[in-house]
Amino acid sequence: MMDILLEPLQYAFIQRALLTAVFIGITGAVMGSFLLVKRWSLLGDAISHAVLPGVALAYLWGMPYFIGAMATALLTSVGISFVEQHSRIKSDAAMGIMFISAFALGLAIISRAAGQVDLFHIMFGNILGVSPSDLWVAAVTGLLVLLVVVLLYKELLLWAFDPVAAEVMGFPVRGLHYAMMLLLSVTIVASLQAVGIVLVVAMLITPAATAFLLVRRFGPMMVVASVLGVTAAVIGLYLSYYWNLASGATMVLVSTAMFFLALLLSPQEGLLWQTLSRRRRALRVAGEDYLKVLHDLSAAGTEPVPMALLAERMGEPESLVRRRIQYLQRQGFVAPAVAADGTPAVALTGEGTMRARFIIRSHRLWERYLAEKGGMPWHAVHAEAHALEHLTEPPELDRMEEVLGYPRHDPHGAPIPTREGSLPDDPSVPLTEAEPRTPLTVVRVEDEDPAVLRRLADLGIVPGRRLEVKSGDGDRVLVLVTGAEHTLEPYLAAEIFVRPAGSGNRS
Amino acid sequence: MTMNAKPPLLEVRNMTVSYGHRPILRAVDLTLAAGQLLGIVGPSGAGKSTLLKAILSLIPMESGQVLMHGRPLGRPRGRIAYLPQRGNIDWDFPATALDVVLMGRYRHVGWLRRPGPEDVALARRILERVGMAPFADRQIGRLSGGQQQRVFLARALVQETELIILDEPFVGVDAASEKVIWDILDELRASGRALLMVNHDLSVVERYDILMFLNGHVVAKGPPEEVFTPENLRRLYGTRVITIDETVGLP
Repeated sequence: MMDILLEPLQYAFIQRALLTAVFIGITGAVMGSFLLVKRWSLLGDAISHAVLPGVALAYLWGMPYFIGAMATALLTSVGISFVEQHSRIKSDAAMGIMFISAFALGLAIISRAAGQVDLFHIMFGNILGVSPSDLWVAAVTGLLVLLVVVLLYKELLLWAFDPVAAEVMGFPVRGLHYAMMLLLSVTIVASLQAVGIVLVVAMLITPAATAFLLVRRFGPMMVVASVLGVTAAVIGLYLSYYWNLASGATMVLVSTAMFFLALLLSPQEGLLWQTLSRRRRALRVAGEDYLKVLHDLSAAGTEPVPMALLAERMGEPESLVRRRIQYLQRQGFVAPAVAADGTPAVALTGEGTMRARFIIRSHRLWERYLAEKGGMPWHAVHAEAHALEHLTEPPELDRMEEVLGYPRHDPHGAPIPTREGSLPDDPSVPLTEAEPRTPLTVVRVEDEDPAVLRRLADLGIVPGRRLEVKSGDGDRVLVLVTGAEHTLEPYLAAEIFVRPAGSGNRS
Repeated sequence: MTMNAKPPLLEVRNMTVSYGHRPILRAVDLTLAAGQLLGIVGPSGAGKSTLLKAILSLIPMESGQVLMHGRPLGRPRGRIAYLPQRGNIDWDFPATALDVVLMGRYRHVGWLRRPGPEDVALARRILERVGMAPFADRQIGRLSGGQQQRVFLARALVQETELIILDEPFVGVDAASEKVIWDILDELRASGRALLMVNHDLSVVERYDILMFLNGHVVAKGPPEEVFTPENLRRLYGTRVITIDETVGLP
């Protein structure tokens, strides 16, 4: 492994290439960070293409290429500003006009001087061919950019974020603007030898865009972008050496690969993270539904709850039920137990009971809220509340409770747990078990089945209603509701919970 | 005016502004003293934002004068804090609420230096005052519209200027944030700062010390109870306002 890394370093041209890669990796990433937040990508592209005629002329006349390149880069920047200010043309069109025409001029010059200038080299660069003077240009440029950005960090940050505020505060916004255009031109020219005219913008933008996905402050973004830029350049360099690939293209491709990796894996915004958090939420919602059922069964006297009964109530296979219970156990909400008949069972812990009551509180407050403030009919609120109960935070619930005037019961008569988690005992019995020919009051009705609720509403059997069982056998129950007489099927009667009239109060 | 009268904090004399050959503002005068809130109301296209920008030298005047304490203002260079309309900001910018508030200190910090611990402490204190302390480290795009506006108000406050200019500070702002902002504006006024605000909401005009109706020129200016009359409203908005008034007036 070390050999693979060290072997190429015996060649001076590789050493130069590596150092150049480090310099332009950092410089490009720092300038690229500004390009990204200023939306200057197109400007970067414009300047890089505009250097072609300068480079071509410099080669023809035997001058250092970066002098020609800088000259045409700056001329183009000025030209863009001129077109923008002296016509109604917007900046993107102005850039399009100027850089394509400069590029065309460069091509025209090169076509006259066929054979003397290597067009492929100028367009796509070759980091393995950098001369000592190219390395010097890259090094000096890098230091210059870093020096300016470090010294003027806060001014540049404000200029990038809010140029109007910067101007009102008295910072020389125009000066900063032109200084950054100049630095951008220098950076691009210094990177030409390594990656060429066509690819240079990718070296600037891609590491910055990757860093943008990973951090949420500008300073750290520049640091992360620099690390990514250098890493991509160095890896690209090695790959191009061993696989004999075009160096500029390889570096850009490595950088792009890193970008897509970040898009997939970045915290919060990454696609993988989002998928995972969706799964986590689904697990939590399912777990909370289990807690509610366990709470119901425990309150009805079945404690601990046999796993077989739980599976039947949830309508899920026992293997899945076991996984759900393991999940709840890890959270400390349930503990394993043994049922009276010796089969495996599960019991709510104190914490599990509190959590279950919080979900019940959320559900019942939502039902009340949807019925009272949302104007929904009482048979429809259960399903809505079932979805909302898992998404509501304690402070929001407390506010809802306040808005509703601290109700004690949901629209179906079930008590609402307090914010401390206490739940009054339920003394009611199903109508099927009630004493015949004694005055009764409806305490609550089961809310799972909208059809049942609609039927009961039609019959006027709602919480607080007085009624009396006239007679009942196994097949039907005859009830008197304030004078009217109804015959109820037992399944319907079992959904109605009553207590003797006159015992206790209700809100 | 007597010789020894103290010149007002801000005075605009005979300001005219044009875009190309199209005049936007004609001969605008205004005077604002310390501890006063001046509210500018007018239809869209009346030149309200233009007036603010011309005072700040963000756009050139064709003629006229802007004086601060009796002397020509020129570029404000940190002597005025400005709260622009929310639409002009890139909310994806990698900066936290605290970063943005600290930007308000840059002028005080000076060239080649970074904000120090005392600047950070001040920024945190002001964030606390606008009720945004719990969100100090949140990226600004992850705040609600009202919270974003409170952060920008905090940035204006840490600049510690005698004059704050606000352009439609309540657009896209929730009721809770609106109350926080008004509370702070009242405090600022009580502590002797001057405030200049564009706000289209006609229901709050009685809060201003001076109300200005602007539509290219000054339609009316003075105490709200004198300016806010049906006659002046008709002159400001033309006939449209009559129908609006009648609709509102229906039982």
